[in-house]
Amino acid sequence: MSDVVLGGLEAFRIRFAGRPVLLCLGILAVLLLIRRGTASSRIVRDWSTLATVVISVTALVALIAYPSVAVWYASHPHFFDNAEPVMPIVGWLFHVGKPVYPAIDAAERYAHIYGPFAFIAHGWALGLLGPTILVSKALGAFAGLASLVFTYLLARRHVEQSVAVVLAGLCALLLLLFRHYSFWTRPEPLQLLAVSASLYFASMSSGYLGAVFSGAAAGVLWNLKITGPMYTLPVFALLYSRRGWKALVLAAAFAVGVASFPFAYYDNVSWPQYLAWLRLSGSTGLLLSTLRQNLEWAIYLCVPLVLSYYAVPQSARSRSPAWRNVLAALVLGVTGVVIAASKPGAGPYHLIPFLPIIVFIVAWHLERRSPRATGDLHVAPVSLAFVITAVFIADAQEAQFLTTMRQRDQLRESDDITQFADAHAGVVAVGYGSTESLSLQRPVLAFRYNTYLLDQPAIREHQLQGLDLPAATTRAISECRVNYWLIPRGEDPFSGRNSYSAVLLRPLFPDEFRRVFEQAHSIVGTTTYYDVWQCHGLPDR
Amino acid sequence: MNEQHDVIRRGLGAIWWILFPCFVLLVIRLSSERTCSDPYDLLPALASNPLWGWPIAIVYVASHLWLIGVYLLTASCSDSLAPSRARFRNLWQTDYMKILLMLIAFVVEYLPVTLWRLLGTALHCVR
Repeated sequence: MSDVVLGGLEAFRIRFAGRPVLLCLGILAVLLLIRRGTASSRIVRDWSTLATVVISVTALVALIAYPSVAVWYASHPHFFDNAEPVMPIVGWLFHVGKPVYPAIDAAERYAHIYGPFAFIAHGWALGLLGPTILVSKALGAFAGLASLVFTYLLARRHVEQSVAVVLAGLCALLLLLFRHYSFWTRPEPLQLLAVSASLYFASMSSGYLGAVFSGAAAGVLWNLKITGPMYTLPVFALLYSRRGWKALVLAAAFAVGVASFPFAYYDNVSWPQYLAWLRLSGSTGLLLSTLRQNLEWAIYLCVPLVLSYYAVPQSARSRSPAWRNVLAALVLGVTGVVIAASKPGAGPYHLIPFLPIIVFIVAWHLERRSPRATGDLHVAPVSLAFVITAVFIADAQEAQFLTTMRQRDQLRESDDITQFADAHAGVVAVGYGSTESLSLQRPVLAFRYNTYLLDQPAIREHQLQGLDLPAATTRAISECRVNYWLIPRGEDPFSGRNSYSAVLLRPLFPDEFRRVFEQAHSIVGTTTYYDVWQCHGLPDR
Repeated sequence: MNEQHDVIRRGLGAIWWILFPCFVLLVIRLSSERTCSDPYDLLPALASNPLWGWPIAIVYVASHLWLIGVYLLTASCSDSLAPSRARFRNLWQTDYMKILLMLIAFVVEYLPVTLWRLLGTALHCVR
């Protein structure tokens, strides 16, 4: 793709990727003008057929594009986002018996507020297949792709194969709107898989077994993030409506059991520490600009529900109590997540786990559609506007993603780090300069030494919550807990600044920490990508 | 319109009396922020305090839900994805004015930030 096209897509992304409703309305206005302008000439005779063809083709392309991008990302050892490396690192630390949630005043600064399963899943995969970045990324891609299969099976509950394929394709297109968030190493792919599996089992017709499996999958979802229960509201509404309160209680009991299992079973997963970090995170309040963005995204993602409802004649529309309950639960869940995801650092991607549920309800609406009976005439142009909007935003997001990853894949930091570690005795760690991209390969060393002291994204969050680096961390630096720090070449060690607006540009590492670091370390050489800072301890006073 | 729709319609009409004044106040405050302060970090002192942030978010989201509810109810009663203005007027009768006032508040809230910044520059209040 030429630089001009890429530049145009990036400009479009910055301007419109966060405004899907606005963009959709603009495109709809253009389509309506075209329809009015061509009404007499009859260039487009049947907007409904046009919409069906465009949606089907787009869905099929998305169904090829999504797995391709997911597998491509999983097969490259570089990360896109600076918050991804911590997932495999903490997963591995869990595997070797280190705490998933260190104490608030502990020297190790890597605690995040994700639930234990978000890390344990990586720990299990890395323990089984070996500690590499590729294994961790493969887990995310597998979960994303498996959720798409479940989404197809969910659609099949109500519609025939061809329509289910198109609906799964539309789900893939909507997932691509969120760049790589549905197959990265953070909890979203696991959430997607858990919610689609939970709904799939809830919609089974067999006895109480479906409720048991649905509850177990819901338990994973509850555990992954504190907002988990909101995603399961529609699932439980379906269970209750179709199988009664006994199935609901059974599922809820299994969900509680599975959600609490890691805290009860593993010594290195501490419930009090997890709660302490959660409480701290709850003190940050909300960002109103993010709230508006979340709302816009929620409205946009729910448009297919309205469109599919009016796509069939009135006599064929769902009106059962089960349908009403599931829909009401979905609205409640989406509303809750829209507000909860307005915390600094969160955003519309928290809505991703609702996509399989939306597809399921859309399929439900289309269950009794007939090629002979037509629905509302306005459905075709609005559907076209919806899909065109999704295509534009997904293209812009993926262009940025692929361009960045291509640039990253030209680097060989991993080899550089490994070569240095092979040649030196003692603990080596990747540190931070003023930028972060050259620090993304830090799992390589955490896997090797089973230790991890500083996670900059975690420190950024902690600072937002009003928590400074404790004395124990500075002491660990001065006492040479790490013998060699690899700092991106030419950058001042630990000179990053916070990007959250409430603490904008505040140094992430306090002056005292940096002073101690510079007193206890000196540059002893360079590698291709890093300055090597060796620890010799604090000078005697 | 069946009885259930009528109950929802009357409910939305009643909720408006609580929601609209709060939403208008919020829109005025947000607009002044967009005009004179950081348009991307709105009401930071209030929003960053959970005690204020959550109620503000609830009012903001509830207002959106109110308008969506009005649309969905009208669409359902008129069996059309795009009900006409006459249909809105017929269905909501005296409450139609409430919808118009809420719509005006929404138009103000969704005006482009650029316009607010231009206004801020003209008023010499941009901080």
